[in-house]
Amino acid sequence: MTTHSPTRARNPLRDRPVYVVGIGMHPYVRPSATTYVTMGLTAMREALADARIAWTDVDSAVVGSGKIGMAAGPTLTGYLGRTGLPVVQVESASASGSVAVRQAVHDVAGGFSDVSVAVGVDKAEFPPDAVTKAEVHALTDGLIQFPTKFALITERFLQDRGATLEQLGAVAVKNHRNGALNPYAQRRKARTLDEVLAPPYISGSLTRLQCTPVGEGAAAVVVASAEGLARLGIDRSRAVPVLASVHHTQPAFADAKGTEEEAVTRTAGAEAFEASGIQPADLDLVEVHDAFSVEEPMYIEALGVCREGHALADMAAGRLDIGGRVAVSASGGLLAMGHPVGPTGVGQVCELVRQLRSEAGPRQHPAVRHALAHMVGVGGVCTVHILGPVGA
Amino acid sequence: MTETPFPRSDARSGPWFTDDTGTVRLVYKACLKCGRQTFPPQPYGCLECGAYDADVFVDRHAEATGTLAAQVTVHLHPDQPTPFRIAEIDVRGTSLCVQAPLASEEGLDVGDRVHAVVLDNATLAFAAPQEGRS
Repeated sequence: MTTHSPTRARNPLRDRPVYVVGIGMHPYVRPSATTYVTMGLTAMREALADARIAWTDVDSAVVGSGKIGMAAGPTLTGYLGRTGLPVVQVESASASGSVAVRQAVHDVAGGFSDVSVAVGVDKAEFPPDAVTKAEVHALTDGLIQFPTKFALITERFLQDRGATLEQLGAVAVKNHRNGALNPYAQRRKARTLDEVLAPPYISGSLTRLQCTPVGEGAAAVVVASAEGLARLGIDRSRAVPVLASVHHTQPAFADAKGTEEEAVTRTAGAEAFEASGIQPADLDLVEVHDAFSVEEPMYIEALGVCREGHALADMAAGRLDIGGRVAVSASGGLLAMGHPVGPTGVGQVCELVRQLRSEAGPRQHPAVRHALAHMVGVGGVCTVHILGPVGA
Repeated sequence: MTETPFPRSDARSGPWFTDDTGTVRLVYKACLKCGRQTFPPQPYGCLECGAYDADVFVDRHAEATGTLAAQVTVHLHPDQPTPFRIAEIDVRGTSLCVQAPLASEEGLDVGDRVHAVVLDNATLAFAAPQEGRS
């Protein structure tokens, strides 16, 4: 089979531009007594206030969550007041928030709405997943959790590259350093390489500080069409255009190279670059699914941000730092900002917008004009967003 | 041991069996339409081309022996005693790479030959050849 890619021919974003006009967050935190409703409303109200619009101006809403269960959409949005708007809940494992953003963008690009809100929210819960319900039994049922899956990938990565644990640990050092500057991050403490490499080990060579923490939180974005901006008097100077919004499942085996996560990243990234008309070298800022330290070099190479085999050297030279050639995981990434699942992909877009608006405070990367957000998820899915220079 | 029927990989059957000679064999799917081999076995359809008719999407089995490709020690697990070891094994005579527990604590290197052993709790693990011949 060959990999199917219908949007390469069709890109409604070219004909009907969509802008992110509001962002809002509830900080990512350890498991807490705060309800998902409080966290979700905090993020949504902040995003609406940022856009300087009212809930009654919103035409549709999408709730991304992987854990909290049925009917989160109307339960959450009901507390903003009854307007009758369509609200749907979407799930795509780790990429749940990313697909919520994509659905909101598509709703506006497709002409169904002028203003849509995407909110990602989750609690630190672990409900049963649908993968195990397929009753496909391997030799490791119940034994391999995410850290072990990525510990095995780490072993192969180290073998294939001749790379060292210290080089991989540097990924976590960079991202913890960035997270320390992010008031929304779950982990806000800079770490030395010795601290990153110190036990406890979770699986294989992966230490605790090289694994994303368990947590919860919320993030929201408001997206709007040019008509929506004009009608509601939204500040054009703070609007950020969405240049690509792409979601993929696994490509055909013939097109797949490396792990399933690298393969789907490569195909989704290629489509996003084609849709946006920019090249990987044009990117100033990148957020990737760095749930485990090995993932960051895997994905920035699969996306073409670094040449194959060069990510760790680029990192060691400071080229991926805030202030370097391209800032990677300026938010702290999943390693430090956190990965509450539903919020994660939305929170990445919030970070991109903050940076493109030059509103990121002490972690501001200079002169950000093009930025990319990337998430993968269970089942081998991948979502990529590319945002352009601020101003509509 | 009594006669072991060849297991159909319906949704609830296991991915391995022990044959009449006491040899552990892995069950996998082979697609006669596109040639793709996949593990674990499942009745739903070929992951490459979607074929699902029983005459083209078929069960195959291979001796559970191969080469160690990667291994890690799991140090933390919410509901399993730790540590334990997990490996990836390239199965001899197939294009399959399977994940499996390792029976031995230490002493195996990437590239080493490994064979399957059935543990006391009836789970399948892999070990160095001398340990695999009980």
